Amino acid sequence: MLRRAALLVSLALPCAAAAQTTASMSFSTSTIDKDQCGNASVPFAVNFTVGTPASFDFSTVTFQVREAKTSDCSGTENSDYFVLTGTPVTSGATGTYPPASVSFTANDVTNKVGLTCNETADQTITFCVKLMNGGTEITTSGYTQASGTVTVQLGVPPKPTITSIQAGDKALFVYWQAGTGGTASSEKFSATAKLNGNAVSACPRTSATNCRIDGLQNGVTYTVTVTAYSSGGNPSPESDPMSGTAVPVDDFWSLYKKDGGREAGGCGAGGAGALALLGVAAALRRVRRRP
Amino acid sequence: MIAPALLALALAEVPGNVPPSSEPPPRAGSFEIFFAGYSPNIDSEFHNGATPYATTLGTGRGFTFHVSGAKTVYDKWGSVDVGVSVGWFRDTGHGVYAITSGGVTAGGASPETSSLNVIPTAVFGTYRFDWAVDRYNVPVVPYTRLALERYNWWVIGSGGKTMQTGATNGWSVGFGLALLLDWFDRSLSRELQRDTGVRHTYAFVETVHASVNDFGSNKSWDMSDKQPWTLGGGIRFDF
Repeated sequence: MLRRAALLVSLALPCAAAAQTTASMSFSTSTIDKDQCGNASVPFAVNFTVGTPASFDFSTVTFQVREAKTSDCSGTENSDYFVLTGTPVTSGATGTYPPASVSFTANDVTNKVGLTCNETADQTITFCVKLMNGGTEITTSGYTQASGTVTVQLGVPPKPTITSIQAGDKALFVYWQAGTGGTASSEKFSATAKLNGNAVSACPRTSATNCRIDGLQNGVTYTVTVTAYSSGGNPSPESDPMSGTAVPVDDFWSLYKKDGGREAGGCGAGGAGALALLGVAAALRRVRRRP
Repeated sequence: MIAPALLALALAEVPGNVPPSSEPPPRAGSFEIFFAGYSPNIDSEFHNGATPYATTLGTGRGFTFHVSGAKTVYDKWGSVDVGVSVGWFRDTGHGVYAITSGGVTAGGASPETSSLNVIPTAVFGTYRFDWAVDRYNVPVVPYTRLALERYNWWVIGSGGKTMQTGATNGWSVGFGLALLLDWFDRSLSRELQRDTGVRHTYAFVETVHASVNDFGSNKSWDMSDKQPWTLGGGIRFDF
C-alpha cells in the first residue's frame, strides 16, 4: 500500500557578506514509518539566496538536492544519487523552488542510501543541497552546502497490556499499560473493538493509557485489543484480547426524567428574564438621553 | 435597621471631626465580580426518595461566579444602580448503569461522565447607602439588591452528548456590606482613579435568597440554591 509522507525541505541563504552564499536546510516532517521506508513520496520546497562571485557564469549554475546518504554531506557521494530538482540561479537571486516531491522505493533506500528497510534500529537519511555548475559542485569558499535529515523509524514498540475494561453506554472504557522491551518506545495507543474478529470501532490514537470506544451496541460483548505506536507510526503487536459488554447508562437528565422529574427543558415560564432585560435596556436609554 | 447602625459605627471610626467635603461628581456606574457557593435544589421536587442530582452529580457544594455591570440612575441620598449580570456554574459527575448486565449492577456508578452547566443571567437594581462615602469618609456601605434571574442551562450525558437545554426564571433579593478599600491607601486610590477612572474600589460580602423555579411553575425544576440564604463575596469598582 502506497503511503505518503510530507517532507519539507527549506533552504535559506542569508547573505552574511555581499559575495557569500550560505545555506541551511530543515524538514518539517522528520520521521517516517517503516512502511514508508519501502515506498515513500516526500514533498519538499527549497528557498535560496545567491551571493555575487565574479568567477561564475550563472547561466549554468543550479541548486540541486543532489545526494542522499547516511552521513553528512562532506563524504563521497553514492554513485547512484538522487538528483531531485535543479533550477538556474543568478547573482543576487532569491526565491523558492516550487513544491516538488521525491519518491523512493526500498531498492532506492538500499542502493542510493545504503540502508535496508529490514533493520530494527532507526535509520537516518541525509539529503544534501548543493550549488552546481553544470555537473560540478561549486566548492569555492563562501558556498556552503545545506543538509537535512529524515529518520526512517524501523523499530516497533512492545505489546501493551490491557488492565481493565468498563462498560459504557454504547461504548467501552479501556485501560491499559505500555509494554516493556521492543525496539521503539510507545508514543501513542489505539484500542479497537472487534466482533467475530472484525474491527467494529476504535478510539483515536492517544498518548493516554485509556480511551472510550464508542459506536457500539448495548448488550453486545466485544473483544478489545490495544496497539501501541512509535513516534514514526510503527505499530506494535496487538495486546492480548479482553472482552467487554456495552450497557445502557442513565446520565443526570435521563435519571431525572426516569425518576419522574417535571422539568421539560425549553425557555421556562413567562419569559420574565428576557422582558426584564428589555425593560432595563429601555431604562438605561432614557437615562442616557436625560440632559 | 442595620444600615443606620453600621453607618454610626463607621462614623465612630473616623478620627476627629471630618468636615463635609464638596459635593462629589455624579457616579456613572459600577462593575462587579462576585463569587458564591451554589448547589441546585433540583432533588427537592421528589418526594419518593429519588435523588437524581445527588446520585449522578454528587452532593458536594459547587461554586459560581458572576460579573456584572450597572448604570447609576440615582445618586443623591445613596445611589441606585440598574444593571445586568452573567455567571457560570458547572457540576460534573458520572451516570449510573440502567440495568444489571455484563457484570455491572443497575444503579452502580459508570465511567460515563455527565454534567449540568448553567449560565445564570440577571437584571437587577441595587440601592447603596453610600451617601457618606465621599462626604464623611465612611468606609462601609450597606446595600440591598433585587434581581430577576434567568438560569440558562444544559445537561451533558454519555459521550459528551447534549441531552437537554433550557432556561429557568426566577427572582432574588440580596443584602450586603461593602468595605471601601480606598480607605486603606488613598494615594493608590487617587492614582487608580486618574489612570483608569475607577472612583472607588470595594470588597463586599453579600447574602442572597434566590427563587429560581419559573415562579413556582409545576413544570419547572428548582434551580434555587439548596441553602435558603447564600453567602458570597467579591469586589466592585465604581466609576
